Amino acid sequence: MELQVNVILQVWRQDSPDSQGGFQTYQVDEVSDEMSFLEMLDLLNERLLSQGEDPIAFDHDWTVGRGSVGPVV
Amino acid sequence: MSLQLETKVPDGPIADKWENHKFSVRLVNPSNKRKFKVIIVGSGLAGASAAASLGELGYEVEVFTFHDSPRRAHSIAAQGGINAAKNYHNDGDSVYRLFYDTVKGGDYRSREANVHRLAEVSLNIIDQATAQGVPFAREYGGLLDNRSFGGAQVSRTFYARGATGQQLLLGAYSALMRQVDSGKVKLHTRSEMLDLVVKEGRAVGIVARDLITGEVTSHSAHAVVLATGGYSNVFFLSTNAMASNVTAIWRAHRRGAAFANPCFTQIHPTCIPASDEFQSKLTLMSESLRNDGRIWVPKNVGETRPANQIPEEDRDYYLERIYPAFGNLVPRDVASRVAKRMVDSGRGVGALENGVYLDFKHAIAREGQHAIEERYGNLFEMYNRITDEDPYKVPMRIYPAPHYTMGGLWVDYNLMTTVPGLYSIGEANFSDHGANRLGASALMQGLADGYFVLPYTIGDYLADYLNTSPVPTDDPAFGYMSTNGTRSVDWFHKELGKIMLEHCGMARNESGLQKALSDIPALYEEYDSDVRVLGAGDSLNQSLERAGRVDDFFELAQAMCLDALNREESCGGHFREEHQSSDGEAQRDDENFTNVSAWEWTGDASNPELNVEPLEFENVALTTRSYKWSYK
Repeated sequence: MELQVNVILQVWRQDSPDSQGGFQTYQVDEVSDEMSFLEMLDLLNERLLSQGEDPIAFDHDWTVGRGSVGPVV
Repeated sequence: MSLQLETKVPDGPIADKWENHKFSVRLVNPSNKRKFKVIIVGSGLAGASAAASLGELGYEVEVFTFHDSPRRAHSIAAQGGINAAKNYHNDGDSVYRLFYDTVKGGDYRSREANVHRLAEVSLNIIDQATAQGVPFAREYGGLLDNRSFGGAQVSRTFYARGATGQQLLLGAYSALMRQVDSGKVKLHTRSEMLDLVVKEGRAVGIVARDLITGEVTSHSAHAVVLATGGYSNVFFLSTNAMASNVTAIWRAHRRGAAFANPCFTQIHPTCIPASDEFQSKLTLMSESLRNDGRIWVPKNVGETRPANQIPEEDRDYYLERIYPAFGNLVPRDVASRVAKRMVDSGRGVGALENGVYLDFKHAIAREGQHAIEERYGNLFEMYNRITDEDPYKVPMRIYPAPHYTMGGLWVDYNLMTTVPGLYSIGEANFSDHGANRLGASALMQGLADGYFVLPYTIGDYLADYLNTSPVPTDDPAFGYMSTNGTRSVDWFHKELGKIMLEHCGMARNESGLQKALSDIPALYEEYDSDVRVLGAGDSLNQSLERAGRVDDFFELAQAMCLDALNREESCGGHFREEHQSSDGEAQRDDENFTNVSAWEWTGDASNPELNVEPLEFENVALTTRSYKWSYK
């Protein structure tokens, strides 16, 4: 039986190195408990894109302490 | 056929070719080397080792990587090990045997001379890496340890626990950074190659985009080396890092470099099965696990008991049953196909019934948990973290996933592509693995090309251009799309991946490939008109990066399907269902397909031109690659 959770995220958004950044709050509903954190970000990005908002930029690469380390949580 | 595929394989007995070639190629004297500039794209094992070696030799080198550090390159993910014919176990290994195994493992679709050279320099790689301090596993007496891998009956795989790629890359990275520090190598991080610049038929530079600022810049050199890895991400779900892509070699292909054997892709038999539909990548568990794990599925369709409650008599150790001589260590393509057959027959395990068991119960009973922990501790921990199951107590669940691509840019014996001055090394070229790569041979090839082959061969080309400046490049500006369609780049990528997995994956057939060749252009058209990419090109924009990469995957996918359709035989990773024996074994057609398909760009992705390099086997007799009973 798949469990679903609702998650509230505070994400640092910054347009460019020179611009003033800030935290933005996003509510991500109906997240499957099978999803990894990064897959949840993919899901949020799909939703943002469909609303015409810029997706969140993050690195996701290989896993378990190697490759890109991904976002800081 | 309009391309001249000159292999430049030297004359003479196979064991002397490389030695003689090294003596006959022209050299650039030490004081002149600084007058030559070489661009290397990619910083994995092949790129980093080539850059370090060329820098050490005295060339001016510029390295481009889209990562923030060369250490992020995907080579780091390689787990199991690196082959070398050192014969430390005194179990009958030799350069010739490694050569033989690699040619046979590649199902006789690789170039003999290249493979023999690879086996020869495998010895040097281990010495080089050990001198760098790479912590290979050692035996009690202090000698380097070996383990065995699929497709070989000797133990020749050197390893550093389950993190061999990481340790070798750190070695190459250290060597590279020494050159960066000394000023011989200039490193451009977060820079992605967008185009190859060709002037008067020669590669003279590249166009790159800074991924942080969006700035597009031109860079010129006397020669360009592409070390940008493979293209498994055309399947969307693969074991490759999310960023791995075909763009650099595909755009070089569009500038004239022939693309060889695109349909030769490898599916790795031991990956963790997908757990849900959102999954965007698959995790590989090292093939070395097959040394101690036994693969099985329940004998009965509809089995509902947990693995540990299924008694021995209700288990089917199918690899041991079908292939008694090699058992769980049959080559990857064979292991993958049979796993698919088991799952398709309704005997898959796990909640989605999409895997087979890899069981360590017997190994733990035989040698104790500690011994298994020593060998695979980090892999077991990784599996546990991902699945929340403890592989010391319950069998792992595994299933094949796209993993490595044997196809790539066509190169001659010197590793030069059909565009003079453009070289391709590591997984990005097609040269050594034929239709199927053996385990632990990718690290070997990447480092062989970078440390020991290219540094010799590139001088032969550069010698002609002494005292010439790199050609100044002023390239057409790149138009960036910002389109406001309705679907994301990822959505299209996933759809493309589904088509490819279904019709150009582990098994292929004519009608499926024809269907893919009609579905892909239709989806591509939709992609052009309906993809949604927000933001601008002049800043960090990951959607835009992906849009370009997926665009190239669409074109590559068509080449793969055309190549798979054209190759009317089954060999290695390419299994055409029409070409199999009554018991399901692959059937090659040596009369018509002992060759390399080198596709030439015509401006139309659906209609490339086929060029053929015939393969000649003077040293290895072509046999039916059977792993059922005997070795030869």
